[in-house]
Amino acid sequence: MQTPSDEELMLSVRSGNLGAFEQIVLRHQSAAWAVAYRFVGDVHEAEDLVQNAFLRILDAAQRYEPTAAFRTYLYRILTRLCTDHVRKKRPIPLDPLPQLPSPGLSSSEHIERLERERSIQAALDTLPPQYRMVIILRYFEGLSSVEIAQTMNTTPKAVERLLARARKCLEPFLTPLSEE
Amino acid sequence: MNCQGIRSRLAAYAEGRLSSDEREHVRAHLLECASCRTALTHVDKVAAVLMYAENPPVPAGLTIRVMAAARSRQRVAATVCWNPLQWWRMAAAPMHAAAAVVLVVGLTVGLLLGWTSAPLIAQTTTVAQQDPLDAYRLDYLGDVPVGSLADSYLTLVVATNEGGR
Repeated sequence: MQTPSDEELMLSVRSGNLGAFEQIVLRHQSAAWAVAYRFVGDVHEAEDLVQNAFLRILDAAQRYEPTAAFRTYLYRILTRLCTDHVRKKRPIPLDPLPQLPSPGLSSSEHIERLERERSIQAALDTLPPQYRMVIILRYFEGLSSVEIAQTMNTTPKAVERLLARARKCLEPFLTPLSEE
Repeated sequence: MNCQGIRSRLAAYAEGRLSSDEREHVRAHLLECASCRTALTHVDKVAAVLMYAENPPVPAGLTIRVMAAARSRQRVAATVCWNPLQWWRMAAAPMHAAAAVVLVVGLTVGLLLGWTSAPLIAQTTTVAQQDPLDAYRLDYLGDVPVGSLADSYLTLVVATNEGGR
């Protein structure tokens, strides 16, 4: 039996099928979580954002039209929620990183890995919301400039400019982590 | 894929132009190959550092919590007043046909009732032209005192309709 596409599942959600909605959530929760967590750096806030994003998709299901890839649609909603959240929020100290699985690593390698993750997250947190989002969508989600432009409702050229500025801001923080 | 193949894909990797499978394949090679990692540093320094980052696991039970909230919203939506437009969109074709039949039958019955009530309207008009004293039985005021307000009113009405008392 052929697996239904995201767009087919969403059309089924439009008819009130919650089972189809659950399949959508299962398919895309990892990507949504990754973006939200990298953006806000807090487990509980990231979970709230992911939940709100999926519930918004459910609320808007009656008006859903498959004009773009579903993932672009999800990223677009998540981007808006994340940037609105950061604008309202005051800066708070970073939560400890959630436990990363570390099969086959020695304790020193594990510590080194945690420190690297902490440094990467701290570097991301220094970026303004728009720069942060383009970095996450490019380097963590692997989206092209065209896909990022669709997500952020802008042009590919504008995305390239944002990326160039974001890289420039990040480099002083990331250079110590790079290999010689 | 060998290093030459990987290096030919490094620009596409850094620019997000690979499929998710290809991306994972390139990343897996980069984690093992210092030489290709150095090559990536020359293409995109940020990519060379961030490729090490691993996303933390999705919190346990996230889907369960999302679905619980979704079901709760669906229950609330069901108790809201019926939206005919929403019903039309969600109903199947046989329901649309049944609604159309009900509409046609309702209009037909309404038209028929309208035609059959036409003589009643004519009757009502005839009644309006009659002496109001006869049609509305106003003669019960016949015993009003002479010169009273009611007597003056009756005199006025009767005189206007050219009736006599």
